[in-house]
Amino acid sequence: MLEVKNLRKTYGDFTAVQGISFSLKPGDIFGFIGSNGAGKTTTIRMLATLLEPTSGTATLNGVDVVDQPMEIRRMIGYMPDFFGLYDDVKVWEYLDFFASIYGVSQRDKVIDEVLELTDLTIKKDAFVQSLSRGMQQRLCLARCLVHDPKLLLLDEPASGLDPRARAELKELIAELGRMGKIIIISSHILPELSDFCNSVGIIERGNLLAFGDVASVVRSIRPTKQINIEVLGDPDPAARFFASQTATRLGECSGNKLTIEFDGDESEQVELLKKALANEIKILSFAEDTANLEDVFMKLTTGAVS
Amino acid sequence: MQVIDLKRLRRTYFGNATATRDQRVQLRGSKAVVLFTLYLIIMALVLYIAYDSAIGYSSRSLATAQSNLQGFYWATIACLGVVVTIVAPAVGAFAIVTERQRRSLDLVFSAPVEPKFYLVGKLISAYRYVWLLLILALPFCAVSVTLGGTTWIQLFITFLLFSFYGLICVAFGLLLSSMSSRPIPALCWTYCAIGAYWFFTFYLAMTGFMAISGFGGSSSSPFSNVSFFTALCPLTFPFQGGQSTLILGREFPIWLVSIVEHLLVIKIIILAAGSIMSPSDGREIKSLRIHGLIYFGVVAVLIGWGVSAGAQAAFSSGPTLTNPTQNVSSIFGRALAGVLCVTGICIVPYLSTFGQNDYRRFRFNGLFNIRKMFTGTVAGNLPYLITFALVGVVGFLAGTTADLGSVRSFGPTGTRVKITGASLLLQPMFLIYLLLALGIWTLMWSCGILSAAKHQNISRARTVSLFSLVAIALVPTFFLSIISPESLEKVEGLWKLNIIASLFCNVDYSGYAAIHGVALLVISAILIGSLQSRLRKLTPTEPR
Repeated sequence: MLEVKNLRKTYGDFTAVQGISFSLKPGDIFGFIGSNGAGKTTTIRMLATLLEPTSGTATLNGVDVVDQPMEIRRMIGYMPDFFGLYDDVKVWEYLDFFASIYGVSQRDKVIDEVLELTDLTIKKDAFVQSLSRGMQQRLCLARCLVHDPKLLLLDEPASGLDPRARAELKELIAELGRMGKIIIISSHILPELSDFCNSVGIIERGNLLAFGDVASVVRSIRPTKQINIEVLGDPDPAARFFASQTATRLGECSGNKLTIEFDGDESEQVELLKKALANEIKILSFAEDTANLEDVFMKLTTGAVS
Repeated sequence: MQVIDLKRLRRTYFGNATATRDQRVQLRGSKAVVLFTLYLIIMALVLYIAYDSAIGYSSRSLATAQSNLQGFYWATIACLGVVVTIVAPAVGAFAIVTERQRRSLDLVFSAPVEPKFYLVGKLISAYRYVWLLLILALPFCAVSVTLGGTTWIQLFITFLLFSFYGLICVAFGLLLSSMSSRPIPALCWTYCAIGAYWFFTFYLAMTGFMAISGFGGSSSSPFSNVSFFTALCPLTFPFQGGQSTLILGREFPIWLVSIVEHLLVIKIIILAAGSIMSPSDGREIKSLRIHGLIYFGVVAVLIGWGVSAGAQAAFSSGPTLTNPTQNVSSIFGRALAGVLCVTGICIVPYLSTFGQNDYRRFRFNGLFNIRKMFTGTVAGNLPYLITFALVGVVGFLAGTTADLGSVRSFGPTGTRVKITGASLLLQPMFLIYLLLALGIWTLMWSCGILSAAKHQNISRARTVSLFSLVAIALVPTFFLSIISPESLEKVEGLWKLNIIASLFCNVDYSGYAAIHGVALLVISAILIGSLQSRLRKLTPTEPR
């Protein structure tokens, strides 16, 4: 269980993170969304014990990041937004080094396992500088996994990857989530995050503007459903009909398309459609416009940085 | 009580992952082979020339040949010394800063790794590398043994001492590397530090040599054969094999003393590097501070003893003194104040400043809190500085008293004066120089606080603080020497303005020292007073 309470980081007069709070449970994959300079990396570095918070607390399974940094480091895997790989080192040597500093026993076995998990077994004896960007990224992830951490902090892991490498990484992260690890992943690629994250947080200028599971965050910006309707012929009867219904509000009308806001559940939505058809409204399409993370992000944030 | 964690110790010294990784990289590929081949070719060429000049022309008699062979051996050792002095600092200086540039240091310190583990790993890998260089040169040295220039034992001891000297060079490199953000400045500063180390150890060796020769009053020296400090000087390594030293009446091989001294120096340097890399309130900072107090105390004892021995020798052979007590206490006062000033310049600008640098923030959490003395926070720095100075004074006084338990006497027959460390504290002349030292330390500290309050960047604050001290203390010396016809030997005219002039004169100028001491305290009080409003704005904050 990760609990972050009023975590704050200031540099002189400059406040990078302004008292953010959230909590995550095992298996949670938390998408941390924000513009460059919003405070994502600072938060992640504080959780990784690389930066000391100015105030606030963060505990992982009851262990405080400031009071017991060494204990925390044993439980986290930190993957920064850069590779930090050594030259002239082979893949297995790189992993062996980190396994050794984490005090992992049966290092050879563990290295083989993480290489298999990250699909790098074939590159075990290759030099790290000879790997492609996607492979280097997976190697970094393998490094984070050698000590079987409880919490994974992944800072922009998908940046610079081609679509295939990105898809593979996404699948790998989802698999790690299923293994019961808490994963915090920061990214700019919002549609991808909504695919496999079960909770998200939107941060701007150090403030956590929204936090929760994807659906609730989306609902928070659009409490009513938006339904797009296309009719055959004259749209006026349809507009009049929907305007007269309870729990609906007529929105935009353009050509034979109209939009309504509907404040009802799914069965009421079905009933509404039935009623419209019964009233001889010639409906070509009737579909709910599902908001995505990008909409939420654009609506909540102003693009300002700290 | 803290139990020694054997598993952790074993991991640090015998299975260190950093050392293993570095060793793999150092010896990988054709790069290492080319470098070592080049090294051997250069060594062969240089030593062939040395051999040719030593043996080629004048091996007429056995004695001459023997002498020439020894010359060749020394040339070989000198070559090794040059190689170690060039290579080892570079290995250390690049070690941390390149990792910082590659940003792999964050990955290491996001793992449960203490700075000590990491630094010891770097030391071990560098030590292996230095030994590799020495062993590669073994065939050249073996020529000297075979031909009669030296013995295997002496050669092995010299190699051993060079390896530890190499370790000191690496330690300096690691220290400067941990403070730098770019490799070239790290390397340059490391070579500067090695230069200063050479100067310092050479000076100590010369002092030791003078003591042996009878200039320093070696008659009652507890280290009678070879000076204790001589052992650190790399120039003495080839001669340490067959020599011994007396420490408190017992005879020890000088090379053994040398290794212990080297290890102590390495320890303090590595602790300093560790404290720079560790977060505030880290174990390394506490350890460094405690070690600093112990080391300074021991050095102060030795200096006190040395000054005492020197003074006794000088007064017993000198003219009859009109006021021996005054003369003796003045010498002791100037010596102690000099030691405190030199030490103060090394540590006060560092400990009086606070602020933020690229990696760490030293928050202002008050000016004085004795409980924070070993934490590395701002509030603990002043109590630590005061304790540090007190330890120096007590150590010095203990050193002047401890001459194998007896009370020292000074002056030729008829004007003898008995003096102990405790009795020095009652001498006004001694206290005046202590007042001057106190004034200089207080000025240094207030300059540090002033520059820290003006600059948020701690590195800039330290630089400004250090240079303002240099400007106040040293620059007028050069300036006054140009415009004033008087010399430093005689504090007259404009020289009266110089705050450190009275420390370096052969004649007692305690009157000026007293005036300077009081003036510096007043100036410091004014500086701190003027900063009150600014310091009040810096609300003492704790991290949490």
